[in-house]
Amino acid sequence: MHSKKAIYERLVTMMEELFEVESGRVFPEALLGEDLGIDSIDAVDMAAELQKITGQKIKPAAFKDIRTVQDLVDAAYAVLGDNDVAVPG
Amino acid sequence: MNKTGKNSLHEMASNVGEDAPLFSLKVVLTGLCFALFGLIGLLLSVTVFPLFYLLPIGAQRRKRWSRAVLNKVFPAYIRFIGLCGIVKVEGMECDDLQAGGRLIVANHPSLLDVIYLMAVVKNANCLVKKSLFVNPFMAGTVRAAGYIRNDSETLLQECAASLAAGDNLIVFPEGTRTDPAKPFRFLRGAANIALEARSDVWPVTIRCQPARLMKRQPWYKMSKSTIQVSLQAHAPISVVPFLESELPRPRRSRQFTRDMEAFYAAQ
Repeated sequence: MHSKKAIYERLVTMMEELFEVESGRVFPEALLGEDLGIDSIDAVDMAAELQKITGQKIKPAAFKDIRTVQDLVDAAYAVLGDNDVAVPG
Repeated sequence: MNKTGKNSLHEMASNVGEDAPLFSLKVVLTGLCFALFGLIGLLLSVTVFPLFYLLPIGAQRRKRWSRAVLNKVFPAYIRFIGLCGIVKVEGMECDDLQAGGRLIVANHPSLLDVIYLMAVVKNANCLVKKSLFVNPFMAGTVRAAGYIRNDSETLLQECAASLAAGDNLIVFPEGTRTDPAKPFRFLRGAANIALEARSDVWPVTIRCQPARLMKRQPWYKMSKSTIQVSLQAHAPISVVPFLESELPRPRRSRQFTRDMEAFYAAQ
């Protein structure tokens, strides 16, 4: 089972482990760049991490239209929705 | 004051000295010197650089030759603006920076910093903002010398390739001129390049007194006195601890960046 909530929670954990973003700073409308200090180079690592979550190949270029945490959740959800892959972990 | 007895880089930025009147010889000369710089860029772009493109020398040699030209032109330009009483530069003999394949970072107090560094550093490559690639005075130069666009999608790979080819790569980790009102805040590009290229970082500090040609200071807000600039090369910051770290890469680049910020804050 994968709900948007579950994806969101995984993202919050990932942000802390990977990008030193304390969980208290993450909220759905937070801008990845301005609010959370995630830059274009981080997007490469983020794509790799999302790949682990979704089991789908995600190109860093796919992040061009993603500005907020919610965008990220929606993108991951869409990938998972298309393919019935369980969220690992 | 820091432990070497010098004012910190930020303390220096608040010493702006006495204004030269707007309608003074000083401001006129400053304007002429900047115009001259544009003119030199334009002239090279229609003479020497096109010639390099025409010769069957390959892109690599064309870039090196173009950089060699700039490495001669910039010291002459610096001497000239020194004679005009605009800027006097010391510390132009940074032998440590000549080895090739060095990743050089510097603070960025003033408009002319990259000219000082390129006058010193042979075969210097540089990260350049995209607007210069379409600036009529600069485009010919930045293209001939093969500088790297800072918005390139393959930025890290291009930088690593440049260092591996023996270029000295100059990066201003602040991404823009220093904001004297704020503590050092570096972008992570420099650290990420170091990690990608497995390259130590060679810090240079640039001091300008009085603090002019800085961020939010238009060129015509000049000081009465000549700006004294000094360049100082420091021992390298090793990349090894960050390569060996168990942390995921984004966190290693953050730690490396914080260390660089701390180094500059202590200068």
